[in-house]
Amino acid sequence: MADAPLIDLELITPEATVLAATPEMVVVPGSEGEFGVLRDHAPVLSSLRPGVVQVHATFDAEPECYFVTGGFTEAGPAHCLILADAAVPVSEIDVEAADRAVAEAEEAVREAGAGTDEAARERADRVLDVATARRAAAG
Amino acid sequence: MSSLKELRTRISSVRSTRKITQAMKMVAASKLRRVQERTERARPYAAGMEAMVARLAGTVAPEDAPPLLVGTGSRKVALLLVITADRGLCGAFNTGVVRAVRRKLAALAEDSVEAKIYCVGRKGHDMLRRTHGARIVGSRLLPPGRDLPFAEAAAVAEEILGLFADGGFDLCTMHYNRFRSAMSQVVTETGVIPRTAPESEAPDEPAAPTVGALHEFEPGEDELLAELLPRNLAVQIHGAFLESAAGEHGARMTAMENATRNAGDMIGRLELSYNRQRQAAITKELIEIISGSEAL
Repeated sequence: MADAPLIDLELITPEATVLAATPEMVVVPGSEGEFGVLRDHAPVLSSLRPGVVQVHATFDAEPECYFVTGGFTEAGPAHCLILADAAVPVSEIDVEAADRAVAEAEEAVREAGAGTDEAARERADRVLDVATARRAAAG
Repeated sequence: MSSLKELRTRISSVRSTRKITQAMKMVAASKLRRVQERTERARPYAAGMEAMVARLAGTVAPEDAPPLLVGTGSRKVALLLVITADRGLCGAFNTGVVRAVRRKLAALAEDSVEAKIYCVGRKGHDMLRRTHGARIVGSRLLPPGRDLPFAEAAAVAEEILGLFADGGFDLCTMHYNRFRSAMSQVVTETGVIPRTAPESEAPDEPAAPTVGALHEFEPGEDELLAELLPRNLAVQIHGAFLESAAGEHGARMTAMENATRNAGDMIGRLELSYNRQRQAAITKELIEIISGSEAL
């Protein structure tokens, strides 16, 4: 499939443009479920949950994976724009640090659960979600 | 008239001042470059965010748009987000913002709108505290270190959103220095809540490349907007941080360059009078010797 139609992919965080490429397919962790973006995708605007963006340069190639902590994506017929809060290549995730982060987040959730502060509890839950997803992404 | 020794000390002290101002200028120049790079890198995200918000904002009916987008409808309390530098020695950089804020406060008082202030950066806080201390609802220093992490802007945004959610204010404007060039910074006021579209692409925007393309929204428009708007606020604040930081370094560069030049001029003048006095002393001694020998 040498001449498969490509999509313009941009993966951007507030700090930098992480990736600008023209893969054949991108799989995005939408908040309502993962979805793949191919050429001629219907226009969609979605928020993201913490998870892995898979960039398939060609359909049968091993995907390049990036972990995102959340954000938004806008996909159209020929482009896919991902505005991530933070993004790292999965291969660069430090497994031990990710483990520690999960443990800390669990601890924080327990502490917040004991308290009465609704906002703090939600925040702790969110941190745990991100930490768990990062650990899962690290494999 | 000061003695030769006094002049010498004076000259060497002005010399070391010049060394310091020169070094500060160079430091500011390199920091400015760094901030500009960061601004450059942050721009695509801000642009993408702005486009998304604009697209979404177009789809919701004005009457059921969230208050973050259109304001609370009343205008009784205004929050002024004042962004200055933590440090001085940068010309009129900080005073410029503070002066604009004072004017704004006066105008608000005339319209009998209650004003609250949130300060970012120590200098603005110090200057406003004296006259408007009671109005300051929050303040924070800029993060130490060279870069301005997005997280910092997000933290400010969260505090402001918290205030907004508690009904602490109806309108929010942001006052900061926009970087135009190393020589000039423009004090800017931006409306944050309700949202105002950036002027550059205001009237006849070519409606993006997606004319009539109906987007699907996941989850629904309202939920998306509720997630996007706080994020967008953080992005706007971060942009202002970067602009302000670039402006600060630019202003300091210019101020220090002037100071260096002034020090140079002063050294020239002092050296001239030092040499004159030295020559006068030598001449005087010679005359004494000559007239002494003539007397013999």
